Amino acid sequence: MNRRDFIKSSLGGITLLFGGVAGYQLYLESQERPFEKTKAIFLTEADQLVLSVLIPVILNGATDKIDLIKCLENIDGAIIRLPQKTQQELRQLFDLLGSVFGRLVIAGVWQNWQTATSNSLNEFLESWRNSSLDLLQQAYLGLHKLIIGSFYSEQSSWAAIGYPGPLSIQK
Amino acid sequence: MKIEYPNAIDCSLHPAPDNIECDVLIIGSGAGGGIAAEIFSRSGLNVVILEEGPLKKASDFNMKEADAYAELYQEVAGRQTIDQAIQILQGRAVGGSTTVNWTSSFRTPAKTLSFWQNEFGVTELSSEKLAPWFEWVEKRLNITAWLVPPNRNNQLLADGAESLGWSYQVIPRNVKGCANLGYCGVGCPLDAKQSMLVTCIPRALQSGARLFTRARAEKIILDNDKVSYVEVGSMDALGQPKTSGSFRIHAKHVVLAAGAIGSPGILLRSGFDRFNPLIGKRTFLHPVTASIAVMKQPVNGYQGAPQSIYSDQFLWRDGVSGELGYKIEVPPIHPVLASTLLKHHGESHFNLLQDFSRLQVNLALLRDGFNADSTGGQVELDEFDYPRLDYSISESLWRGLKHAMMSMVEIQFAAGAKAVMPLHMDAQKMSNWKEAKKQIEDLPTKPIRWQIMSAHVMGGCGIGNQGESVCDEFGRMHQFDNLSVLDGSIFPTSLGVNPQLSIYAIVAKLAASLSVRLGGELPKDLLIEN
Repeated sequence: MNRRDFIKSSLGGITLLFGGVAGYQLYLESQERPFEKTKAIFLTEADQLVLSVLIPVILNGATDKIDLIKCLENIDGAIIRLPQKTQQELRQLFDLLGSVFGRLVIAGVWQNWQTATSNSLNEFLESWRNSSLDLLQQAYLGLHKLIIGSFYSEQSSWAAIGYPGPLSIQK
Repeated sequence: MKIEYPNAIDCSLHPAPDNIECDVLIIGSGAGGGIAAEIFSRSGLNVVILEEGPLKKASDFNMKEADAYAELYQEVAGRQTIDQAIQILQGRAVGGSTTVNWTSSFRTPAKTLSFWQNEFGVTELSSEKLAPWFEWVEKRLNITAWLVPPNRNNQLLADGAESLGWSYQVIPRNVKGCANLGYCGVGCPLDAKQSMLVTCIPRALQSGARLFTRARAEKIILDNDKVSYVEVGSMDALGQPKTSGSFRIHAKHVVLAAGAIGSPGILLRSGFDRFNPLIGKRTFLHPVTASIAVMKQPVNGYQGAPQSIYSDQFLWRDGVSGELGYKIEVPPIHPVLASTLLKHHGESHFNLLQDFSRLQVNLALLRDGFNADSTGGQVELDEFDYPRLDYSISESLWRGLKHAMMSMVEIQFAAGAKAVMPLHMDAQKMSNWKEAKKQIEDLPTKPIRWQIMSAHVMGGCGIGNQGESVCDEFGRMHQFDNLSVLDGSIFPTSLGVNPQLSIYAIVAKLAASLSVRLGGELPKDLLIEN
């Protein structure tokens, strides 16, 4: 087993131990604030909660009015088209983020997700981005691609970067 | 004129057909499968085509990236090597990658073909023997030099090369009635791109070929040393395997044309590695590195023919088998692709995108597979039997990537760039060539950090001498009389040019000779002396 496989399997094991039902229960108890969620196929409520906190940080500056529901729908729509193996890896990542252990120890976010300051969330994202562990870099890039892609897919995001959108074609 | 697709059945909507018999089963409808389908069916053979993606037509193409990536690309345009260091853009729809490519159409370089002859004993595919096949394809797909002035993104590549005294040329394109929109990568809404989707596939269907879409070849089943039948699974509308809906196709001859990850993948799923351990090995990419310039004036890189200028100044910089050479081109610049490639978040991400309309991007595609250190990657199956590419970056590839980055950035400053940033997670914008050069020298050569992409996958079922390769030089798999591979996976190295025209012409030649062997009668235009 090489180093990466070891880290992967230990992260998976950690997720199983600390995540799953127990983590979900704990977070349910610790979460107060209602948030916008959508009926999704892949994304659970716990996943949507983490995303609803991370999306505004990743898109900070791009807009003052994020359509969270649209982003969540786009992310879900992309994931359900991915190969089974990739979906499995994303499941592990979201379970980890949703677990208390994952949030505290792996992401280093000490408040619950909703009360975390944007500074601490930024620090967590930067530390994953620049981590010496490939696995954490990959996790950052996975979240990055899903969130940024879900936002710039939408026409409403184009004016701010000076993209006029495709010409309309008479067919 | 509306293009008709008779005999096309969508397996996501319909129950599995009864078991099917045919002369030739073609697995895949891209560059290789499309050409082969036209040639076999016009020769009077009974043809069935399988495509794991959907049939989407011009009327479905709305020029929106998100819809195109979801419907027309492998893995929502996010396919990656196993270590996630290289992003692979590949089509997954009727027409394969030809439905979404950027139309660049180059003949295989003579140096590449001589290398195949000298190193792999491939004599059938010499420049002389292929010349009439290139002519046939160029006529068939209306491939000509693009005489419309290049868009700004391409023009700036020409300007930079010109001022440095480096060579550059105009790219031939496979288009007819092109309106210069710039949306080739998301499916041509005008049917102007002469992809397999609008040419050979409908032509084959009109000649009686049958097409099953959302249908994946799962396993090739043998009876002694002959293929008995192919087990096919139906896919749902999301591209996921359905639990029911499998069927069998009995064919006199089976042709694999599922691309250089798909074709070895099917052979591995079928356990053929027990006959030949080379299956899936020597799978090549043209690894691509890119640099982003901010110009003073608008570039609007989303508009106009995406690729019309190239520079081969460094393609053979150290001979054929020395230091890796590279071809310099530009990509189209659309918001989803651009925003997801900028691996920053928050304000620093948005600040980079503020310059979206003034971005000019160069890319270099490196010639993989020509030296001892450049042996490509390996296709493997994951626990779901889905094929993935394991590809590690060699020392010579790192040197090539760095050299290419230098050249691209130098061109951008020579073209008047205000600032340039290498596409690398640790790079900063630099405002002059001297600073930029220093930065590139110091950029860590680390996978993932150095952002590498590829839209060209080749090899994995390479042709050559028995014992050293997977197929003979006619594309027949060694040891199996009724099984051939007719797509880019038979290339024994990468090419050094965008691959579509090489696949078309080589497959046309091999399919015509196979057609005769199977008792087909070639139509007049295909009676080309071999």
